[in-house]
Amino acid sequence: MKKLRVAIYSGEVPSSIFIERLVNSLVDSGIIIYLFGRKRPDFNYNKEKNIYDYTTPNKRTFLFFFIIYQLLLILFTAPLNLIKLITFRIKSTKDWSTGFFTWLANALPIVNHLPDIFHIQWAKALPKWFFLKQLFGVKIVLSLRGAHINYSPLADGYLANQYSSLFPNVDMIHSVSKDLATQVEKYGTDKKKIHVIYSGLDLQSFQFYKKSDWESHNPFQFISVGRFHWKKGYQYALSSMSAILNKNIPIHYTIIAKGPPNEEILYYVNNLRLEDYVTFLQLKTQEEVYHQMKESDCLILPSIEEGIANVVLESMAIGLPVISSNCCGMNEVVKNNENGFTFINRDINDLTSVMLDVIAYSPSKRKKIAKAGLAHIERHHNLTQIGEKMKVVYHSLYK
Amino acid sequence: MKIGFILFNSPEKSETFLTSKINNLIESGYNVVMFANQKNNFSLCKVIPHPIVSQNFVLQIFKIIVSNIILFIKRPRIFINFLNLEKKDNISFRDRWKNLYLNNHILSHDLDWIYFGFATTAIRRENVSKSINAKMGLSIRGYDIYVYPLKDKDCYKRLWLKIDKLHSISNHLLKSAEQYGLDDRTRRSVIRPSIDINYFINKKKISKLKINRKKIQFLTIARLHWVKGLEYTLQALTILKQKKLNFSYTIIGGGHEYERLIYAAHQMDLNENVSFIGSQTHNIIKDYLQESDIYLQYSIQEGFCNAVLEAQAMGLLSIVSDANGLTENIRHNYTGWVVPRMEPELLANRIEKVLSIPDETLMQIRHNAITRINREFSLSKQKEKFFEFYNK
Repeated sequence: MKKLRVAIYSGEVPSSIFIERLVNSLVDSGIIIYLFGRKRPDFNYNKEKNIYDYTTPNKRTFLFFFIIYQLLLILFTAPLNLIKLITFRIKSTKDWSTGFFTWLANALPIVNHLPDIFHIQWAKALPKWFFLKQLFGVKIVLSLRGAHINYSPLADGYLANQYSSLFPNVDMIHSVSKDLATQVEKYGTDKKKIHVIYSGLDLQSFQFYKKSDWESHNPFQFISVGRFHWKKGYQYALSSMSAILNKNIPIHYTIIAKGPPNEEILYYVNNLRLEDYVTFLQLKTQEEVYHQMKESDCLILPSIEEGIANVVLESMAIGLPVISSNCCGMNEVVKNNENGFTFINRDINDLTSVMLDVIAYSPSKRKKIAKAGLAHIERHHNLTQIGEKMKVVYHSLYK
Repeated sequence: MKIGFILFNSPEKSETFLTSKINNLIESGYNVVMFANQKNNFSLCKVIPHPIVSQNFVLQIFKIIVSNIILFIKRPRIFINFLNLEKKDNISFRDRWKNLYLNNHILSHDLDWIYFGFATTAIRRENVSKSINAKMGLSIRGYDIYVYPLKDKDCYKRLWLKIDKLHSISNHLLKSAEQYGLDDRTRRSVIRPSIDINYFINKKKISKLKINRKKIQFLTIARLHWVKGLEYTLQALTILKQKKLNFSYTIIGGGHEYERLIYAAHQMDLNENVSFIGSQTHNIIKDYLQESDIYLQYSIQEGFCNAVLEAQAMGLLSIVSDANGLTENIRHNYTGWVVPRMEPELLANRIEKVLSIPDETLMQIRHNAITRINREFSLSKQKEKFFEFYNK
């Protein structure tokens, strides 16, 4: 039987950590994985596995030769596809010549290596690639992830209209949370086409970072991990920090992010006089992040918006107790007082009170919660299971 | 007298504090030329754009060489002056030439005053005035002092001592600038913003102004930016909605955080109550002020805020945060109400309290606000003060 060819498309290779995990979950699935998109410098895949990359180079000089090569390839192997492609571009794009070569550099490798399924990771990219279904009959699977569903279409009416016209025609939708799945119903998507498959973790990779001691540090160490973006809601965590410090309870807050803090965060730290109580860390490797998490007492996810935050899954896998806002799909993972703690989204008083509770809990209580968190991850977010579920979804399209 | 007015971009519609200042200068007989990137077809005076920094390294080097050679041929003394002053300030060789390129367009002009509209616009331009023997004036504004130096506490170290005269829009701002090295050696004056009091007049008499208690109309005029505290405002209105208050809230202003705010309104179930109507012309803004009951400015950080002055001039009931200059803008319990910032429950409580006051009592607040604005914040008052600023 011919193996199924699935393109996992996010626009760049390698992609964000959770998309890479999806790719890895399919490594031994018997499915052939194609990767398209712009090549990032830290690109490294084991080609002996079933992963084939047809990435587009970033440098302009290479790009020129790349387009020539791809054009020659399509001319000799499938010239009709080239005619279809160019005709489509001219007909569908008003100012078709603007950005034509960039478009060609991205589209040609895909048309030269047409997959059976094109799995789009970010909904905003759907309008750009839907032609693969119209012209070449490629099945389209779309992943629903946070921002592209939760708020982008609220601010962009044109995008919302595009979603309404395209979502019903997508072959299958993969949602990373039940919450997101309900969000897209308004775009006329057939419920039967939506599959909720949670993100997964390779639990083996956490074996060296398992927390074994829940005795708290002095000061109590809170930690958050994530970029400085408004949706991460750090201002609420900082305000709660201030409220707790005002009660003379010793605490410290570490925020790990890729870049330096933005003006908003700096303003809060300065205005609330938190300079001595907040540390910003820029760590290079994921291992360093896990190590820092292991050495902390509690993770805070003060986010306003999330699909399902991977850092929470990672924290639970490490055995680090989690305080999460109840935004979007977070309640599907964190059950208050069972496997973690939740607070009302944007509610500083509630977050403060939950933080105070966690500080006051005994180590055995924190351990109990952390163990329940780990059990939840093992049961619902195991990477192998995720790969199996995705495989079933892909194959169901060719039954 | 010829004044060079330096900004990053020519003023936007909402930046009335800048347009009114330029207008005042022109009306007072000064010859004003603006050095800024042209936006919104600004036409009050001639606008000379800043030089473009090319991403291409070779091209940029070429541009630096050519423009600096031209300046050297045209104005050799000024060329040497600038480089010497930069050297004296221990600016690296490379940065001296970069700064020369960045300021080439200003150094080519004969000016009596160089006036920087924001302190941040004067960074890397500290020696421009002295090089051409012009005086240096500078305005400090909210962002300059409350936000920008958080990234670099020494950013103004070189600047303060080069200024001939510094203008602050509030006492609070001036005091805050001291933590970044401003001291008595820099001459300064506080000139508060002003508005056109002949334009911002309510069509209705004060005695006829009443809150529409069936459906309260709230209004804010602000950039969609985190400093304006609009998320906290929305949180306060959510509390009131849960208490069954019937209201609509209009936010006038554009900005890059539209997505953040429309999502906040959506998440707080305020879609039916809140309208984001973008930037608007003065006439439309005035119409909204005319039709609104309560003006809210619950900022996290604020230099002074002209919109609050306009709201008061129109006799609106204004509730503001205690952010920086707002405490000088509104006199608590006299011309409006001041609420501690970032505390949505307190804002909601204050709104409730104001709504519980009878219209007859509120009339006194409206009257106080209008009288104070007319007395202290008129354009003519500002004109006089700026005349003193440049001439004394």
